[in-house]
Amino acid sequence: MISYPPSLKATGGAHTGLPPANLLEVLDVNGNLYLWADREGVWPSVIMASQFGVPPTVPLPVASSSGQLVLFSAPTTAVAILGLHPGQSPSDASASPTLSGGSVFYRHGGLGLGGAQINWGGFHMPKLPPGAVIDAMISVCSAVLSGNAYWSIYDTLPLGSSPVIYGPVDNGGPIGSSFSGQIVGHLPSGADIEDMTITGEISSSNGTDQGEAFFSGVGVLIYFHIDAFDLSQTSNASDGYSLLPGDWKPWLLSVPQLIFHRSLQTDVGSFVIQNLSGDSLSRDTEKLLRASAFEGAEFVYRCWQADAEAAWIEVHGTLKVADVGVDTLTLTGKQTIDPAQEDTPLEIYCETCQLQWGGPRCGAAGSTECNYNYQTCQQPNRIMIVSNNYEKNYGENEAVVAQNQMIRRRVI
Amino acid sequence: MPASDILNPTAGWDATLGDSMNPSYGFTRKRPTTKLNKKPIGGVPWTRETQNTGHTFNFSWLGRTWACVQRLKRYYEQYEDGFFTIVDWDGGGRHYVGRFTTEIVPTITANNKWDVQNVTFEEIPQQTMVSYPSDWLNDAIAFFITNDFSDQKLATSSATNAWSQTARVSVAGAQGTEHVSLATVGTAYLTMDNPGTAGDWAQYEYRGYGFRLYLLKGPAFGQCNLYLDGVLIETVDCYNATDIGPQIVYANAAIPLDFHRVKVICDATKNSSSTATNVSWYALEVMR
Repeated sequence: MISYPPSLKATGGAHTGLPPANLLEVLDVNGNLYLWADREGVWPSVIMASQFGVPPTVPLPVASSSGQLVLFSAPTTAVAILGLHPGQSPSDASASPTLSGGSVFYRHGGLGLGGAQINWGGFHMPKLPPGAVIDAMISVCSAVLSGNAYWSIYDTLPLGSSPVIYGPVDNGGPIGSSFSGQIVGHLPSGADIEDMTITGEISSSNGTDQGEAFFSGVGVLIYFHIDAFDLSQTSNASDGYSLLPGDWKPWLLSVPQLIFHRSLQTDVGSFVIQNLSGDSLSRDTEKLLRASAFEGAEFVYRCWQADAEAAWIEVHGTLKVADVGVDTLTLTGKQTIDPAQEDTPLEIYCETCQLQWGGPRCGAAGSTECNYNYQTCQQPNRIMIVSNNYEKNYGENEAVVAQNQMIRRRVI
Repeated sequence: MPASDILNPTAGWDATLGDSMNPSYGFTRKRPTTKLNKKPIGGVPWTRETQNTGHTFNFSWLGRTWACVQRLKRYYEQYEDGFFTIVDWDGGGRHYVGRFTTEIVPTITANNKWDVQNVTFEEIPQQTMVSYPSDWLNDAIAFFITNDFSDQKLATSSATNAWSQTARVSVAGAQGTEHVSLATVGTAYLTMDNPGTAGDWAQYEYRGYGFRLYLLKGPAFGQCNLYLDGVLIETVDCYNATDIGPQIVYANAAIPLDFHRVKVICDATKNSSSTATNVSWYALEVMR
């Protein structure tokens, strides 16, 4: 049994105190998020929290504050540079870059300043939810260092003609002794991380120096919060989100009566949305239906007790468009996994193989097409038939299994 | 022409009938609602205009001559599949085109005195009129770019998302609608602005008769093309040597009752004296 949170118990039954609000969140198959309620207000979002609030796997150098969410942007390019300076023999250095880190090794070869580095780039700003306000951006790189060469880890943002180093993330000078930890650089507000580079480097001009570094967790952490009261953000069409602002629209006219069953039976019900708002030429829902694919869209419905800040019930499922009426849009809510909605190959169980000869699923590499039966199959381990044997009225002691080809399409 | 067939062409006594054709009662000036309305439990009502229905009247003629009744009967028969004009002389002489939709049932009450009661007259949309309504002060209503609930009603299109709402303060000389005066400095209003990008358009669909369009005029405003129901009406020049705010740039009362679309298309042109090609929509005043 799932117990109610104490705050709900404190407010009493759902029929006392403030009437609960009906909240419907819809994430359509194109990634548009719509927030509909039966009243004006700003409410916490389940989908937004689950979709955007997953903490990154790297350690957070700064703990996120209440209501703050953190996203992680990993590099999409990692380039090793060996030698660093003209005349430096690359054989003195080696590097193994990966998109999450890598390693570099350098041993001075007696030809002046040299070293090896990895440059991580191709950072992309993650898609932020509507109403998101970025609080801070921090570049991070964890390193395990050993040896006595010089090392530095820094990020660069091209500003104007020459790169400007924000940080350096850290510059430890001679390693001297081993180091293990996370290097952090605070980026300026509004920085364009698309052009940013994070560099991990070992270098030295001393003939006896050498060093080794292992990098991991390279990326940029974006700390943000969702300012739900920012009503100035009226259109997010350009970033792939809905045309709606980040606040809840009071469009929800009615919700179904939902019954929880003890069995695996699930409930079906209709959510009714108003279909009148919009400009004088076209309705808002017309625009939504053009921009969205509500068939199979994920929804979360909550009966929300505002004063308790908790939901009496929360239902997750998928939607289908039941009716687009002259003044209402009716969406039918169903269970999350609906086999009837799945697209599966049109294949039947029969004595004829359903695989295309020579195709990836068949795997036959010969030059002669089979007859799509067991007798001519070139990949019997992959054949997709229902094999069947027929006895031809032989005596019990002389039972012979027919070996003739059978080309039939009998559905079993 | 049916519109020129006027049931009651004169306000007073019609000597040929020995009576007046004006009804005793009935100009209630009622119009059935044409708006759908839906309201969530805790939200504001959402509405939408869905029909071009006009006015409906329920007339009574009391104590009239037989000639008057005959005229009513003839108009009912003649325009059962058509329309004629009736004039509301007591209401300022406004014309309506339409027809009787209930039978004329005369009842004799005295010697050559007849009562005809409960005759329904329904206005017919889309028909030309001898005289179109033009009492802007009493009969017109104003549509702004948003309704009072901040729901944008003015449709806009721009490949570069160039349309934007701007809150403004009135300037001296600004011309408000009949009911919202902007002549006083300090009156706030909202406009939909475009830098004049060629092809960008703003459009409003309304139900009513004629309209008056208000655009901003000033030294940095350009020219645009004004369309009514897809037909080019004229090119509007929004240039003025000084900033005078919203002004009536086009007015036309002679438009039949119907759904109409008023469209402004920017074409990046301007008066030679203008410094820019901006176009800003303030309001549409519609005769109802």
